[in-house]
Amino acid sequence: MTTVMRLLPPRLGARIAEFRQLDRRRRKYLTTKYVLKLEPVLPGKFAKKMKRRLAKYSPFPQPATKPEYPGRTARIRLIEADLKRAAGRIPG
Amino acid sequence: MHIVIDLQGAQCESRFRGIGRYSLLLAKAIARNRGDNRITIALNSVFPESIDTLKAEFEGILGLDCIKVWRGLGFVHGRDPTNAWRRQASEKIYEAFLAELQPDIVLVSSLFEGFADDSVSRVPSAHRAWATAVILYDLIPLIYKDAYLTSSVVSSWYARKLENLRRADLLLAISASSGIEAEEHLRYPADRIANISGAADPKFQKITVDQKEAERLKTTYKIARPFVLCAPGGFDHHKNVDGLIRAWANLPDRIRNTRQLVIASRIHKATERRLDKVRKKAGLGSKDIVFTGYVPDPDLIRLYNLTELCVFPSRHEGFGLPALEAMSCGAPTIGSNASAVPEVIGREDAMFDPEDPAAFARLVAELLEAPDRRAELSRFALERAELFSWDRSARIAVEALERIQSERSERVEPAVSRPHRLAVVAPTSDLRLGAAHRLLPLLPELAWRYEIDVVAASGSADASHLPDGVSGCLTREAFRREAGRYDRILYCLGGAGDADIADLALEIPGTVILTEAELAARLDRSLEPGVRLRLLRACHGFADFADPAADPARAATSGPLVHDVVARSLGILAGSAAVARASADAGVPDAADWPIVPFAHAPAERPLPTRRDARTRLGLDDTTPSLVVLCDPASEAATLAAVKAVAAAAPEGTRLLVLAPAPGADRTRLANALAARGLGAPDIMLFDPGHGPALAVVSAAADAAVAFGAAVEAHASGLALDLADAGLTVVSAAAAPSTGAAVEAALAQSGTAFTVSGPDGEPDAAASADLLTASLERIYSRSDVGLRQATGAIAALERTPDDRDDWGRAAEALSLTFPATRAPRQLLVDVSELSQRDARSGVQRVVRNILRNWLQNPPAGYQVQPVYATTHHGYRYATRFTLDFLGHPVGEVEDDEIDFAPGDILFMLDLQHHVAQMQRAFYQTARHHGVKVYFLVHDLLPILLDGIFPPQMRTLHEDWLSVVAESDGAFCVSRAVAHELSDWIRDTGRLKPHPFRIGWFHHGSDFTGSKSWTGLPADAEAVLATLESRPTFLMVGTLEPRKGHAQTLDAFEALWAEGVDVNLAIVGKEGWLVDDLAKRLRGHKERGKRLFWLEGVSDEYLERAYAASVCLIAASRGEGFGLPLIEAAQYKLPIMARDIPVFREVAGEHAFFFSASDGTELAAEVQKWLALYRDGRHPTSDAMPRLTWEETSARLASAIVEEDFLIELRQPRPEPVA
Repeated sequence: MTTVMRLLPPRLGARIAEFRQLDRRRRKYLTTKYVLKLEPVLPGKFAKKMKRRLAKYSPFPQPATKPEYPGRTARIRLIEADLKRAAGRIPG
Repeated sequence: MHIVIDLQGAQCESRFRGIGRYSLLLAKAIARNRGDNRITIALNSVFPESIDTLKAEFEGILGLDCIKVWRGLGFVHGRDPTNAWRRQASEKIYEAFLAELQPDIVLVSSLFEGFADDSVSRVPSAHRAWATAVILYDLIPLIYKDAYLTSSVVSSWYARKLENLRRADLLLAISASSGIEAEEHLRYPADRIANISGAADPKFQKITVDQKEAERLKTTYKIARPFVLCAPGGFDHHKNVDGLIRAWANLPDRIRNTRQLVIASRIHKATERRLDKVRKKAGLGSKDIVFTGYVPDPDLIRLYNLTELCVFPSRHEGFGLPALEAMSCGAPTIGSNASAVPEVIGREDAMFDPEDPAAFARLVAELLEAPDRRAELSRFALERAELFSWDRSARIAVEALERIQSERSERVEPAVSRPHRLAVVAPTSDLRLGAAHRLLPLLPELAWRYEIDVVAASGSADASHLPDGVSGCLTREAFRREAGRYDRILYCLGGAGDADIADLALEIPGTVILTEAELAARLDRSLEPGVRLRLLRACHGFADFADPAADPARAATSGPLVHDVVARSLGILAGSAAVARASADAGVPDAADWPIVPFAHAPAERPLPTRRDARTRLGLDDTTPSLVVLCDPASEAATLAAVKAVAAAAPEGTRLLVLAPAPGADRTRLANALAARGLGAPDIMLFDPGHGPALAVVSAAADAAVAFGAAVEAHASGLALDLADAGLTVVSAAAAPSTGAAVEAALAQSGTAFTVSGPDGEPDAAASADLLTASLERIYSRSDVGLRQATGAIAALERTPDDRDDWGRAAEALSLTFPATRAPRQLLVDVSELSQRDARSGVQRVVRNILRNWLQNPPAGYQVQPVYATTHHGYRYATRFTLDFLGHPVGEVEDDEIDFAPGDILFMLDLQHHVAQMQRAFYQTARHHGVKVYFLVHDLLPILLDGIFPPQMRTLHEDWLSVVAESDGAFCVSRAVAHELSDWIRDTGRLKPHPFRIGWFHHGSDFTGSKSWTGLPADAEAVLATLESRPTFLMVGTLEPRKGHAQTLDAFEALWAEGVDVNLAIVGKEGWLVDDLAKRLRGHKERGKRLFWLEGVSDEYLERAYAASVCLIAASRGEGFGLPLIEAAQYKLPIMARDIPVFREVAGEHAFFFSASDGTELAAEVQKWLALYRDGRHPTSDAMPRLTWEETSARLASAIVEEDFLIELRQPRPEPVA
């Protein structure tokens, strides 16, 4: 047990010891979750980063946002360029 | 005759109305009565929900290959004027799509669509290659302009449609009345109108409705009294429903109070409110009239069979299908005496004036009080309905189509065509330089067929050197502007200026003629490493990278990188068989099938300097022997070796003039490398063979040449032939017994057996020109005709899009309508979760194993391409992930968006719930455009086992399975799961019109293929020693409530209390909803003594744990497969398994099965097993059937490709109502 842990109240110390046994992903998820409890006082940018981290390590897949062009392919890009060029939209 | 039926009428909003039903039933009847004609059904995938249904409708009548799907842009409806560009662009795609189908006649099922929806139809204006027939329903808006054409937007849209209608070659009128309307209001020639009439769907028939069913209908549709039925099929002005309500009010009270008027049609709230006002104004009560809203056909048929009387009060109808449907059910039917309705009703005494409410009321009252008359009318209705049939209508339609087509073919004169304009793209406008000089003898012949211009890809346009037959020349920039004016483009690749020509060929697709076998290698060297990797992936998949025996350095640097140019071109011509062969050897797809245009060897016409001048410029005197060394471009090492060998073999003082086909920077490096080996200037000089003037000087100055590598195949190498043209003896080092012999033969100007020379005989320019023309025309007649036509037409539109995303929308529609035809077939393997993170779960172990095996052994005929999507973007090739997965450096390569083409397969190997849901529309689009989409299903546990998964998992899994059910099928990890999935789809009503097929496979059991995680913790040896010290029971799997860990722990506590000295080892990380269990395990007094919880252990540690145990306990209450069972069998570890179907399937008789409901019962079962174990009578797993991952992967791939399935599900076809 580290010195810091000796100084902590026994229950919290036990909690931390238990916490250290969890797998890395779970630890990251939980620390982020606890940090985000302080969201009202956290700098906006940092809170945003923490939310991204929470999403990354969450055990549940995140709700989706709709992509602009779900079916866009490399061939579509080429055809689009052909179209624009043929219409004189891309200077020769 | 090839008849293409544009069936958008059955896809758009009208599919809920008579027009939709008419279009579909007529199209099916035409298909049945097609005779010798060929039928193609054209569908627009802008209406995705209709496509599977319509395909199912034609099953058994037409093959799936007769149903072609195209794509308009969407957002094209005529109601919004800002849609104009998108609509016009869609029309161009529509026309080009039809052109590609090469129809003789196109039948437009409903021309007057697209005002409120996104359908697109058009009758081409002029010079069309096919005739167009249109089904004419009516001209009601034109006849009742005041009611329908009040807005300028509507009237101009309608006017445009009328213009189209006038251009049609044939009108198939659905009644005599609608045909007469076309004659009277459009002055359309009567001889080009055919009355094809119509019919009711055969499902509309006389049936008996039992009392219970009748009561249900009355309750469902709130019908309280005997009723008179009207199913108008809409509430437009001409349907005259207002008039019907007012007429109903004229009925005598004794009738009105004992009957209800039931109006059965889909109705908008606003319309219902308006008609309610009409009702109140007419003095009718709320119970007098019932608006049922939409009534499905089975119920409508029953209502027709139950009604006392059916009324059809329309002021105007094209045909009056609802009246005929009612009559087919034997309903006594009366109707108005206007337009086409009398053609259906067929008798005077059953008709009334729609504008005379009193007359209507009189007729209704008479009939309702005269059951005999109604019975007689019912008999008549059935007889009359017999006269109408779809087959009869279809036969009339086909006859009319054939007549119009034959008249047209007699009438149409062959068009006088102007010669095609051909652009020949060469390095400079002086065709005597570079690869294009091989075309020179052909140009006078080609000039008979084409108007030829030369494009200087690298230089300026200089008209002074234009050969005979060429009209003009233009620069690269001018060509970019004018490219649209050329009907044919020919890129000459194979010499100087290739990079510039390749650039243009990538930008503006055309036909490419390759004259150099070493082109691929040359282009290869000029590529950035990232680009090279991307092209390798596109060309080969990951086959080179996945082969463990392959040299990674070779895989990353060699390859047919001409692929990009090839893939983009409309077609490739090979200048010789050797070029095609070399390209095929390098893996360029279809290279073996390239047409060969054997260019007669045409000596370059460039003037050579004199020998003296050339030698002076190179600092050589007259007597110094000099030898050209023509290097193999394959590698720098080969060049170094060649130069070294020649230098060693040549007499002292010989100057070596080395032609090294390499980019500038590489040549400097090569020079330094040579100098470092003592092979520097002045004895050895390097030259760029692509530089014409330098080549001329070298050719004139040298005495002879030695050529290395495959480059010297006589027809393949322009360079070797150019040197031979210049009068040098060129000796092939490969053909000579040794380099020394080659050098000797060259300097002696002998050794004819291995001397490079041109082909025998005089070049036959006319034959080559014929071959070139035929090949060029064949390529242009088949490749991307539609795409080019549509692209040109859209680009030429006068307007420009208001929304800049419209270019992308148009490109997407073009890409889907005209899929790539020359791409290799792909097995696109979804790795959306694994490519983002490896959670090291069982699912991901399966993904890793199958993916690795598929990459190493792709199914025959397919490239395996891992792909992924995220919550932020659509599918991309997982190039970075795959390189890393295979242990190759990733570098700067980027992941491209995927391309797909008909024949590809998308297999959802990975499990990522949200991505799958988000890509739902993409899967559907891909399916509709010829891609098979399959999912891998591990289990349905979150749905089947209540309370042991977080509640949101159930919803998530259900939503995911809904997406799965829309695909072409699924492969389950066991037969048990296959049946569970099948039951779930049936029970939850998720059957679709298209077949959904379910297959199954079993996991592999070997670790060797899957070992990706090694390493042991510090205490591992001590733990393993304790496990080996007494009988150890092993449990493998994440801690989850369903896995039975808690019950097993109860059992072992009981055993320990009884003094049974055994270990329990649990391998698996903490899952969800197991907080109590985890706490119990962590604080257990036996922990570390006889109880072990090994969390997050490596595959290596797990393997050792299997070896140290005596029995595997599989206590799970539900599993998809039960991988630990098969892994235990791999280690000959006996198994105790809960008696559930999937464990029975996997382990058969090779396990001890138990059905304990609590810890005590399980403890007793363990005791039983121990007793058997001690006597050596316990079931062993040694002979348990199991597969390796290699076998599993091969079987799964074969099942996917060969469509080997266990179960097929589909929505049942609607049965006739009985």
